Amino acid sequence: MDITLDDVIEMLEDIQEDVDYETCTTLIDDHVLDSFDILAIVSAADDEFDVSIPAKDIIPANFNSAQALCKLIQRLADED
Amino acid sequence: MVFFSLSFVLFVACLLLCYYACGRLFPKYQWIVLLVGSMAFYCIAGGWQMLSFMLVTALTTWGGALLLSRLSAQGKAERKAAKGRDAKRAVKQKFLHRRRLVLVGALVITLGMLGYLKYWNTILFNFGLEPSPRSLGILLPFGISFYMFTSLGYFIEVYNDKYAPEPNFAHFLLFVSWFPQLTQGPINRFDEISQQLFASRHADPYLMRRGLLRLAYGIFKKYAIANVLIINFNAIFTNVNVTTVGPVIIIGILIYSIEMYADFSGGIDIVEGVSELFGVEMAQNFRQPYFSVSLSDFWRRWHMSLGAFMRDHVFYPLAVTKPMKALNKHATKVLGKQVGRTISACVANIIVFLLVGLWHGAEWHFILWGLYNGVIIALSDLLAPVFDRLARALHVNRDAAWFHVFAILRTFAVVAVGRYFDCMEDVGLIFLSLKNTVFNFTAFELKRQLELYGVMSPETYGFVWPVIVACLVVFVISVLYERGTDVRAAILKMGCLRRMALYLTVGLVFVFSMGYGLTQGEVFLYAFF
Repeated sequence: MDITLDDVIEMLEDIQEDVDYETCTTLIDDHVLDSFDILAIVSAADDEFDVSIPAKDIIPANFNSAQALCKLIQRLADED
Repeated sequence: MVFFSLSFVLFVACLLLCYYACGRLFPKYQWIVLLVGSMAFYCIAGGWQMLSFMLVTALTTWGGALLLSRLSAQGKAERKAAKGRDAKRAVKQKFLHRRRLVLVGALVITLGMLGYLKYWNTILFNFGLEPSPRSLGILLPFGISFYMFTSLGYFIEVYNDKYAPEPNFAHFLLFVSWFPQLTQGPINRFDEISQQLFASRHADPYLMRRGLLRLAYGIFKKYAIANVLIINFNAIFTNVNVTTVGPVIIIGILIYSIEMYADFSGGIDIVEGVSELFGVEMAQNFRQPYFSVSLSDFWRRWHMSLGAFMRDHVFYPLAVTKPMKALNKHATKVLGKQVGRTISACVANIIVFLLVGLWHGAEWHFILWGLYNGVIIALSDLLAPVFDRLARALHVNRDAAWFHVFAILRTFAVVAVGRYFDCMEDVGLIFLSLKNTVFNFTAFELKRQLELYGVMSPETYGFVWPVIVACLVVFVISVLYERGTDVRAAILKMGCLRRMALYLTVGLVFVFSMGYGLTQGEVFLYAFF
């Protein structure tokens, strides 16, 4: 299954609405997403894309933007 | 070695001289001066007999990390050579298993050593097998918690492939033993500090002045506030009994809250300042914690390096385990989306705070302290939608300035309740104090009891005037930092006369405070952990 940026943004919108995921690149640095949201994202990635995000990949650089998160999920999907 | 002493000043001055002289003569070997200085500091402050524990920790984590890296390289080569997807997967599993064995082995050696030295006697005492928590006479090596967490953090990050291991043991030993971090942290990260430690440099007068300012600010907080308030804190809490009225206990907790901050953050400013004199900027440990708007915000601003360690190496690894994910899904089905979304974080938070409580000591009051913090944060997250609805129903504008101030005061009160479990060792006394705070709230008795308990300056509730002024100075500086001002840069930019007037005023407050404080106030609260 090909995972697109739109899929990831759709997943993020389910977790927290009213965020401009297309342009925001400081989701963690500006506390737009907190630790609860990150865990919700980990859970949603597992459910929707069958991708398990390990704790070692939970770093701000991977969660600061939808694009970075999309790249992470694509990489993990490829590794499987 | 006492921080505010002639011997410490001489030690740092000699080391600086050697360091920058070596930078001119043998720049490539400048870092060796720091290593020799750190070893010498450890032998003087902690005793050379205790050095072996640090060496074992460093050797285990350094050797373990190299082994992990070798296994990774071997695994990659074998995987490349393997034919077919199943064969590649089998190789991956084999090396994953080996790497895990190395991880567990190193953790058992290091944490086992920490557990034995720090907790074994207390465990035996709790099971009635020893007459007291210190009867075995096991001495806790100086700085063990800090150098152990520093080296374990490095080891786990190499395990997670965050960076390559350090091949040079002497380099690694300097990272583990860097003398400013040994007394009370911060817990530094190898990728953030190592290049600064190993680089060669010349003295930068501006950066050194910045470092000296920070060092002076730390000494000011420690000696003008903490060392004076500790006397009144002791006067109150060694006398608390069934007749102690609530306001006296509240004053005691307020004194403790300020004293604890001045002591710990002051100590950190001192060591960060010393480190900056050598051009090494260590991890930030405080960010105006008493301006926090929630308990979780407070813990992101207080002892930040320990919080980051726990977040990266305990909270997330625990919260994303399969049982936790299953718990999330089950909770979503049974109790709804909000509980499902937060439950694993709540459980992980409670465990993290229990561990932090145990890190402070294997005593029941620390376990209660951990539980209190973990449960309050869990409840505030679980009940977040209820608070949202309440705010809407009451037409509360949460973006208003007054609400921000209210949130800061509310958080201070929540943190202050947690201090009951932290500042008293006797659990019975803790609950008696909590009970009296609520059910024995008689303001008439306040000044009489403060006098009776021998509190200095009972008419100003235990705050002598130089401490009040010193607290105001710290408050103003904290407000400026909170607003994003680089206070040190602003001071150094001032005209000479204005700057001298500022130094003189603050210096006078410091001198007056010294007249009230402990004459031997070298002990830092966090030096015991």
